[in-house]
Formats: sequence, structure tokens, C-alpha cells
Amino acid sequence: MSLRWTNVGMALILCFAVVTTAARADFVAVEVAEMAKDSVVTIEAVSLSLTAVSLTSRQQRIVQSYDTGLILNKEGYILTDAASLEDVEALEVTLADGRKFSAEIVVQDEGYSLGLIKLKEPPADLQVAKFALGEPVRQGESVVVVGTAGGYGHTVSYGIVSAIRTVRLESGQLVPDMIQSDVVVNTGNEGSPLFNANGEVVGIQAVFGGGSAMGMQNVTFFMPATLVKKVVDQLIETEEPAFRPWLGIMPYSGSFGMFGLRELSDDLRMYMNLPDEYWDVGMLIYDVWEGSPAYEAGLRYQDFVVEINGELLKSIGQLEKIIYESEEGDLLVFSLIRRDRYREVECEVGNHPEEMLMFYF
Amino acid sequence: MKNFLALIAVMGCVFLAGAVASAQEGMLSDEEGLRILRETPVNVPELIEKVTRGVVVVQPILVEGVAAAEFGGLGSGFVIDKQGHIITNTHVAGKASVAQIVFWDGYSARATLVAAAPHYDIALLKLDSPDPDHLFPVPLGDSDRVKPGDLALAMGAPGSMEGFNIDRSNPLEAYGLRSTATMRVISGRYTDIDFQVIQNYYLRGSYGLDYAMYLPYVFRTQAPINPGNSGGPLFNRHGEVVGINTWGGSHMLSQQSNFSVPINSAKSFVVEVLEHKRQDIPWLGIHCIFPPNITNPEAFIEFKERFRPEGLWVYSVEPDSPAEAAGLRDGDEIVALNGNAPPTPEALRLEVLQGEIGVEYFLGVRRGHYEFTIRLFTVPKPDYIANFSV
Amino acid sequence: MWPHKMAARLFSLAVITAVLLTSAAASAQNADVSGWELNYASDVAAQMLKPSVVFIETRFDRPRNDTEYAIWSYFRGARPLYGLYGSGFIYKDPKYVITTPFLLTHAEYIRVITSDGRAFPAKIVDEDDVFKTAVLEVDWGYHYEPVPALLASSEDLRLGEPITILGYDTEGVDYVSTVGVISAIRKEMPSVEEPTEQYIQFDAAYELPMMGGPLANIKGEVVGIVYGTVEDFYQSNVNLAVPINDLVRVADRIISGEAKKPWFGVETLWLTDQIRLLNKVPGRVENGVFITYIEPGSPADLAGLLPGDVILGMDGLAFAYYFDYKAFMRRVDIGQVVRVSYWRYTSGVTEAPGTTDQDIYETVVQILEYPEEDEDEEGEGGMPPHHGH
Repeated sequence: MSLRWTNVGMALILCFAVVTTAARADFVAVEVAEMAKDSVVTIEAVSLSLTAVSLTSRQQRIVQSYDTGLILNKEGYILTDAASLEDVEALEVTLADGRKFSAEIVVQDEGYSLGLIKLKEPPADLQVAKFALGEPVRQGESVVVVGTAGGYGHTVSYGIVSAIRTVRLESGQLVPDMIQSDVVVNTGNEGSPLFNANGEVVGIQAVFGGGSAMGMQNVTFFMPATLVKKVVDQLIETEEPAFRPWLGIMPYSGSFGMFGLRELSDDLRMYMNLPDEYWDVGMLIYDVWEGSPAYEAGLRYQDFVVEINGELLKSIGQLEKIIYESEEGDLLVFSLIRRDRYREVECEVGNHPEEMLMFYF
Repeated sequence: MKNFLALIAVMGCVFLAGAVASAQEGMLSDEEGLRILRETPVNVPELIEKVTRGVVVVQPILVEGVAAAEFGGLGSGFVIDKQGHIITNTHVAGKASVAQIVFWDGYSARATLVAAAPHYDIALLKLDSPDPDHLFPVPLGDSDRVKPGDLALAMGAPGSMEGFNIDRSNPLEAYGLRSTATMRVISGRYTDIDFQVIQNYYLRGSYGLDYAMYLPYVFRTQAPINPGNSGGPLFNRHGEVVGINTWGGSHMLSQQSNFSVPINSAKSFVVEVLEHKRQDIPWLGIHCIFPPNITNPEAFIEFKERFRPEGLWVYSVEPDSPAEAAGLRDGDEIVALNGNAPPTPEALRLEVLQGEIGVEYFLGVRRGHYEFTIRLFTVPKPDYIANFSV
Repeated sequence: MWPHKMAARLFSLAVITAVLLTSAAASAQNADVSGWELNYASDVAAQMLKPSVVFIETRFDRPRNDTEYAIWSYFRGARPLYGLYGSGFIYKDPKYVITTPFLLTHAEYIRVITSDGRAFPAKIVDEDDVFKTAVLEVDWGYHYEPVPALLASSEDLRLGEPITILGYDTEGVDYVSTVGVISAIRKEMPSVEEPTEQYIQFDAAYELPMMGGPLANIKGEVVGIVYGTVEDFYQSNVNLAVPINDLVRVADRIISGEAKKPWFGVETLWLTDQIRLLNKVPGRVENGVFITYIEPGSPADLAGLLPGDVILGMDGLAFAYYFDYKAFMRRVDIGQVVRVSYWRYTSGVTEAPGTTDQDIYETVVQILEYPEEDEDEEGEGGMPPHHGH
């Protein structure tokens, strides 16, 4: 019989392929650094000033600050944090390969502490960061921070996901699935991207928990990729700060400064003459911000809310979560008790105002 | 047929070439290293899932009956058996006789203090009515087998002093980041007694942590921990507890240098307490590390660096101690321990502390021109002795 | 014909399967190795290097209260300070131990303590402040067999590579290992006094007594020496190490006795707008090294260079950054002949075509050996010599 050399060739290739791909996989931080580096850039916030004595009319370039940026799309939109764009005159972005481009600020979103800038003339070969929008990260999963530090190239740090929990941003915005990680973040400012083992962005640094110098070892919070993507899409489309669902209610605050249902003493409940089924649920409204969606809907001080959209209200957190998940214009049905009478009020979810109103949600 | 042989020969060569090519990428030359390499890789998310249900938040309840969710009053702990016993630190739970235990899912229950060993900083609690749906004890490992560089996973509720809060309606969520996991390695042991003494004197005096006197060593770990992690478990790669996170050494000059009490000390404490209702420290009554008149940390460093002679010398003997009964006197030199060359004073301390009560020691003693051997047994260290006698 | 072909096909299928299975077995073996590397634990590296990592203790000529040693006092709790302590490792030539020069400042007595607790006297062979390398010669005696550390190349170090640093704690009693990744591989950083050619930044937890200890990859091979940290309120774990390749080059030179410093003889500044203005340097000279001082009798002096000249490049390499010049100067050998291209203010040269570039000159410099100078006693331990390169 005759053997086809094509068969032989295929067999050879197969063997060789199997044996050599048995070569080692690399440590996750090495692989992620390789994959992610090109989408992480340095942003130099520059102040331009003509030096009076310069005979050659050179502009003296004073760099105010260095920040980390993440390339979002081919059009040259770059994500950073809002604080680094304060009072900035000009922006220069340095890519991983050293090329510099000038950029302009598009919008600063104080609510989510994110800033969007755009390259004026983006090159064709921009490496876009990929966001992980599928399964949420698991506790214990390996994560890598790739940032830039002071214009001297990329820095890499490795850790695990310490927990996923609800944390409030500085602006008061609630983030229910904030990623807590024990990576060391050395870029010194918010906005650093967090990558998973596949090189996808799983988070953007939000709250700086500090390294050992600041007292708390390795506690840093990252806004999840799904939230960031939602916000970023809005920022790119509208060039305005993203929508933050808000009603304008301040619930009753108990002795520890907590808005606790447990803070509602039994006497108060007896005074309000609550029926049995509402004995251990419900929220007392303490104040409604004037002009807010709740105000427009007619909610007022001393209203006792017992149900939201037909579900018993067991905790403030439950209501906050419902609000967080709402879109603009959604209607929430409040079942409440006002002066011994049961009422239902429809409230439309509106946008959070510019002011930081810490106790109203 | 010839074609077949040719094919096999060529494929064999290709296979060999591939194997050699991938093997070249840095095989360890050390046999020992290779042997250790063959352990299975750690899947951290699975490891955490396995153990997280045994890790709890411990909130001591003060006598007045008010839940003490105050600064520093929060700590962590872990469930060790089906009866609902929980281990934590004394500085977390030792002040109160009852504590509120919060589990991974927010469920809370009450526990009573069974015993506290302040010198070990270990406290034992027991759940009043353990709920089978929330009873997942964690396995305890062997801290003697822990080596520098072993993987360390710390779990607990840091942030007891921060208000990262979270669900504003639940006071239990007010402080402490429940079920936080951090992972690095165990850096090594910490047997340095001088430094333990200094740290205790300068930094921890207010907590009364004087375990430098009783613990043979503690683990130094790089796993980041914070106030609130105290009392929580330190797991090895197999999911066994090897240490109890006790103290975070974070200050400007050190990075992630934290200390954990070895679990073997806790195990012996728990066994002793549950069986005999007390725990005893083995003791001989010899001041061999430095003389008892030195109480100031700088003075003992000075003494140790400049005045302490080589060898094992007796600076003083405690009254009513085995050493006194055996005839040991100030100024004696110990020239042999159980027939071997004398260890350093610190090594003698380690040996005595890690032994049992009633262990026999033969000491070769030189006094002036005379050499003789004495025999002594360790006895329980009396409670009123609070010094560094061995 | 038919069954023969079938048999042939089945047989070749069987052979292929057999080969695939054995290669699968081989890959499983390799997978074990790869699995371990993914663990991030450093127990293997710590165990393998333990016999080679030593604790270094020095005694000063006299007790000192200097503020630069205040940190050591803090850890010791004793005043005044009698000496410093840190870590080091046994070099591939086991007669020598490598550590960092800062630990050896003002040292009168030095001793090296191995992991099994034995102490040996040591003396300094030489130090290199630029590459933070000091070589000690240790008297091991007749009975001790020192175990040299395994060294690997730092050429292939990658960003994110897991590494471990090893050393001892304050008393030299406990062996300490911490783990991290390589955060950055840099050429220069502003807050480091004397930048090295390339330095490694890593995030493994570092403590003072680990200074001078080895930076090892996860296999237990030394890839650098740890020399310090950058303290800043907003950063943590910014720790620095010198790559092993630089260290080996320097150490080998020191050991073989060739550690004489090459001498060029200039003090320089990078060309800035201010200098440009004051010295009438034209705009077309974009980058350069401005000479502020020429040492009399030095090779630069003999070659005819003058203060006010701007060095544009050497040996055909144009200097785009100050770093390029400094890197070049660190690599020159004694006796090497270097072509220097420089700008000098020449009257009559204007921007008009035809006369430009007539103020660019070339000369040839031969690098000589640095002349002997007195040992500086007072507190200059970590500082480079004052006189330029």
C-alpha cells in the first residue's frame, strides 16, 4: 500500500503540536501584563505657559500630574478618573509604545468619579480594552492591576478578589457589587483598571483603601465592569454625566446615625397604629427634598412606606437596590400609611442633582 | 511495511524533539524542588468556598446589654467543631462574657465565652444554640510543619474602624468588611523575643498582649490584615487553619508584616481548657535571657548586645521553682542540656515552652571549678509570675 | 486489496493514538510544573535559597546617633546604635558574599551569620554605589561548606513575573520570605538618588532587615538584589532591586581586581531652555549634555573640551535623553577611545544656510583610570564621588 504523504505530514504536525503546547502556561500576572499593556495609557495633564524670557519662543511644558487611562474604542475615547481632570489646561496621552497624542476633556462625571477624554487625532492601531461583561468575578479569583506611574511606564500588581459587596462612593452613589481586592495600587489615584486572568477589564478603581502607609493594608475597591460600561456608554453618547437614579427621600435615622428599621421603636409603631402584618417592616420618611421626584409624587414627612411595587419593604437596602436598578422614567409604586390611611403613590425615578446630598436617595 | 517503519521512526523523532524542546524551558535541577512541585495547584475560589462558611464575625456584647458595634470592638473568628466552639482572640472577645456571632450570610447568633488565655491572646467561645444550617467547622492544620513561603489565605472582617458602609439599615453591616479574603504567603516564624518585648512595650501595652512571655513563636505573614481581622483564621493551601491572625504590624516602616498565633498553641489551649478547665505553661524558673532587674526594653537590648556573655548563664533563679529545688544558683553556667551542647538562652526557652508539663531535663552545670548534673521537671508556671523566666 | 488497506489504516491510527497518549503523559508532567508556578507560593524558592542567604551584622568604629540610621534604632529600641544589620547572599564563588553598600557604612567589624546560626568574620573587598553592590570576603574556616546561590539571567524578566525576596528579621534569628510580582522594569525614576541602568520595582512586602537580600524567581534562582523602598504617602510596596546581570558584572570586576573606575573628567547638566538662553545654544541643537566643569588633567581636558560645550553624542550615538549619556558613561572601559561630537559657541555661525553646523565639532577622548583619592570618612557612605564621571 502507499501512504499519502499528506497523512504523514498531518500526523507529524499533530504530534509536534501536542508535545510542544504542553509547554508551561505562565503566571497570570505576566500574561495579563502582556495582553493589557497596550490598552493602558499615561495621561499627562499639562499646563502650557510661554516663558517670558525664552528667545526661541519655546513653550515650557509643566506637567501637573500623571494619571492612568484606559482606551475604550477606536475613536480614541479614554477613561480616567474625574479628579485628575480638575483644572487641567491641556492633556497629552502617551501610548504603551511611547507615541504621544494630544487629547481633550469630553466630560467629568463626579457622581461615578469617572472622566472621559478623547484623542484629537487617534491613530488607526489603537488597542482597545475589552470589558468582561459575562460572569461576575468570584471571590478568590486572581486579578491584576496594570497602571502607569508618573510617566515612567507600566506598573503591575497582583492579588485576589477579596470580596464583592455594597459600597458607597465618595459622591454617595451606591454600588452594590463593588469588587474589593488586596492588590497593591501604586498609581496613587483612582481610575486604575483591574484585569482578570483573561486580560479583560473587570473593574476600575473607585475608592482608595490605601497601602500600609495609610493604615489599612490592601483594601481597595473597584467599580464593576458592567457598571462602568453602562456609565461609559452614556458618557460617550450624551457627553453629560451619566444618569444616577434618585428619588429624593431621607428616611428616619435612629440612634446610631443609621437608617435602621430597627431604629423605629416599638412605641413609635404603636403610636402609628400599624396593622399586624406591617409590624416589623416599613420605612418612615423623615424628609423629602424639595423639587425631587419623590416630592413631585407627593411623598411627605411622616409617610410610612410598607411596600414597594407590591413587595414588603424589609430594609432600606432593599429600596436602595430597587432604585439603583431603575432606569430613567421608571415608575415605582409606594404603598404607604399616612395618618392611619393606606395610600398608593406612584413615583417616577429621576436623575440625581449635581449637589452631593448624602442622606437622600 | 517499510513505509510504516519510516513513519513511526519519524514520528518518534518528532515526539522526542518536542519533548526536549519543552523540557528545556527551565527544569529545576534540585530533586527536592521537583518533589515539592508535584502538589496540585491551588484553586483559590474553590478554597474560599470550602472554608468561608466557618469564618465568623465576633462582636462582644457588653454587660449593659447594648450591642457593642463600637470601634475596635469587632473581630473575626472561626468555628472548630460541631458543638459550636469558636476560636478568636482574647483582645476581641475576652472583655465580655457574651458575643454576637455573624455568619457569612448575615445570620447572627449568640455565643458565650468559655475561656480566655490572655497570654496567648486566644479565647474560646461556644454558640448557645448552634444551627445545623450554619455549622461548618474548619479543619485545623499543623503549624509545626509550616515553612517560610507557604501560601497563606487570611479571612475575616477588616475595617472595624472604617465606615465603608454599606447597607445603612443593618447595624451589623455598619463596620467591618465581612468575609474578606486576602492571600499572600507566610513569611516565616517570629521568635525574636527582644523585638516582641519592644513591640509589646511601645505599641501594644494598652492591650496587654504579653504573649512574648509565653508563646514560643508567632508566624509572620504577608497576607494583608487590618483591625477587625483579629481572631480570624489563616489558612494554608489545603484549607486548614494554621494560624490565628492577631496583630497587624503596619506602620510607615514595614509593609504587610502581620503576626498570627500558631494553631498548635490554640489546639493545646482548647484541649486543656475543655478537659482540665485550665491551661498551664511549662516552667523551670530560670532567668537566663536577661536578669530580672531589667524591665526597660532598651536596657535589655543594651544588655544583650554588650554585656551578655556567650553561653547559657543563670542570672537569677525564681524562688519556689524547680530550678531552685534542684540547687541551681545565680552565676551558674549551664554547659549541657540533656547531654547535648547548650543551646542559646532563647533556644532553651523555645524548647521548654514547646514541651509538656512534667518533662524531665538534665542540665550540666558548672559552678566555679565544679561541674555537676542536675535533674529537673517543668511545672505549671504560677499565675503571679509575670516575667521572662524560663 | 481491501482488507490490507483497512489494516494499514487501523494500524497507523493505533500508532498515532499511542504517540498522542505518550505526549499527553509528557504534557501532564509539564502541567504539574506549570501548576506549581501558578501557585504564587514561594516555599520552594525559600527552601532552596535558605542555605545561601546570610544575615550581616556590622559594628561601627564608635556608637553613632546619626539620623540616617534612625530607622535602625527604631527597630532595635536601643540608643546609640552600635552597628547595622541586614541581609546578603553567597555568591557563585562561595568565598564571597554580596550585599548592599549602605549596610557597610562606618563598619569596623563585619560578620556574616548563616541560616544555621553560625557566625563568620568578613571584610569588604569593594563596593559600587551606582549598582548598589558590595562584595565581602568571608573567612569560612576549614569545616564549613558555603552553599552558593543559584543565579539566573535578569534579561528575560517580565512584567508581572512572580518573585520572592528573602532575608532575616531584626535579630537575624528568623528567616523571612515574602512574595510579589515584578511591578516595573525601569531605567530611571526621579526619587531615586542614583539611578541604575535598569532597576526592578516589585511589590513584595519589604522590611528594613531584608536590605541586601536576594530577589529570586519562583524557582529559587537569584535575579536581583533588594536595596530599598520608596516611601510616599499615597504609595505602598514600591520596592527596588538591582538586576543580577548588572550585579554580576560589577561583582566579577571587583573580585578580579579590575574595579578601577573609568575617568572622563566632566561635570554636566542636561540641556534646558535656561542653559540654552544663557549660553546662546541655537534651537537646532535639540538635545545635549552641557559641560559645566572640566577636571584639570582629565581625559576630557586633554581632548580639548571646555566648559560651555554641549556634547551631542558619542561613538555615533546621539543623546536623546540624559539617561543615554549616563548609560554610555557607565559602560566605558579604561583605555577605551571614544569619539565625542559636541557643539561649541562659534562666532559668525548663524542660522543662515551655508554656515550652520560649522559649530559642531568632533574630538577623540581616551578614558583613563580614576586617580587614587583619599577615603572619605564622614557620612558619604551612600553618595557617589563628587567629581563627575
